[in-house]
Amino acid sequence: MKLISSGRIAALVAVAVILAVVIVGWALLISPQRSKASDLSVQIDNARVQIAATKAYVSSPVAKRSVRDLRRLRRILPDQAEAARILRQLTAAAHTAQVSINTVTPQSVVPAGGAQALPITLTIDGHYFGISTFLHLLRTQVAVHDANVRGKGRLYTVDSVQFLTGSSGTVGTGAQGSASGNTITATIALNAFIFGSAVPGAPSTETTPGATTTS
Amino acid sequence: MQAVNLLPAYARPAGRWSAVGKGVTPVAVTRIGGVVAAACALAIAGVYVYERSIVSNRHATLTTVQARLTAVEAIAAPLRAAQSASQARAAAVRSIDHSRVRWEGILSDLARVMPNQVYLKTLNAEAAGAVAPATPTAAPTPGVTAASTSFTITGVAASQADVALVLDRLALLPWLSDVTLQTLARAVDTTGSVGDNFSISAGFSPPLPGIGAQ
Repeated sequence: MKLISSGRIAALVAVAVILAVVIVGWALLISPQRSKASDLSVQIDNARVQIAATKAYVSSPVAKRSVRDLRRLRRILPDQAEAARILRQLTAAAHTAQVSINTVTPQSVVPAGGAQALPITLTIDGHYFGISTFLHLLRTQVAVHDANVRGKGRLYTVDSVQFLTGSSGTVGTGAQGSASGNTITATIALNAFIFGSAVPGAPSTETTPGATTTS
Repeated sequence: MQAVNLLPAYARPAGRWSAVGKGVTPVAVTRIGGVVAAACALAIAGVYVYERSIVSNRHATLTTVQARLTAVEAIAAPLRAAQSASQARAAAVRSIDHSRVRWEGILSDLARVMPNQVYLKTLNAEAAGAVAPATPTAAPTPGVTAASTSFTITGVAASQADVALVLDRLALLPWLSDVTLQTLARAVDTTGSVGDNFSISAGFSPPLPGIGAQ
């Protein structure tokens, strides 16, 4: 009876020890590894999802268009004053409108909204409708339709227009004026724009404020 | 009457479990238990090694996937930067475009409303809320009112009735308000012809792009 009892107790102890070995081994060795493997699996899945999303973005029309858009918008709103390009555009517009530019006077850059404005004072000679065409050409270099910005040139705004007496003594308007052949000297205050945060009072790097170009 | 078992205790039939472990010594139990425990430990070690290999494989996979992600991100980053920069520039352009004046429309309107026998000598128009304080270099024209109003014209007409017609027609322009005659004076020019010099000022609310004719 005593032997049977001892054997039973020994069996119970053995079962307990085996269970303890299994439980401790699972808890300390296997379970952490499985947990790590699970975490890694989640990370891998996340990374794969990111890769898929990024690949989808890279091949999307929006991404393909973005570089082209930026190049185009840099022509419209450049990072620098690019006075040479301004002069070329003004000259081309003047040529098309059959007016002549007498003076170009860039001034100091001033802050203007999300950009910086480079004020330029122009004096031009031409017929009434030639000057009107010149202003039209400057404005239509950039067009905004709905949210789309399109343009082949730079963004200009004209703040003021002043007509002075032309060579024949009067500024003709209407039918008589256009037919009379009078030329007008117009002073136009326009702004070209530079992208970037404004630095109040900072002069342009490419143009000398107050410098006058006469053509 | 109650039934009584007359057999002695050792001769009575045993329970189901009374024979289990009857012939097993504690030493044998210990040996068997030890062997089983060792087998379990080995099995656990095997599973541990297997799980470690899975972890190791997944580490390697993750490293590969992250490298691919880095490569793809390197391609996407300039595109994202370009898109962001484009949006910022487009927003700035749209913001500036709102303040642009359609000057050709103004000049066209002005030419249309000017009657025969009326000539402008000067015109001075300054857009309200101009972006930059650009100042024309030309000296103020004599006879033109100082910039208390943003739209001023001076001219000469054949008669005072023509000047009145100019005032009436200017008042019809939607971008002018408070059209006011500043001066009117009869003068004789160098050719000997008589004319009425006038100066007119008005409030100026210039049309913006998209308003009116192109």
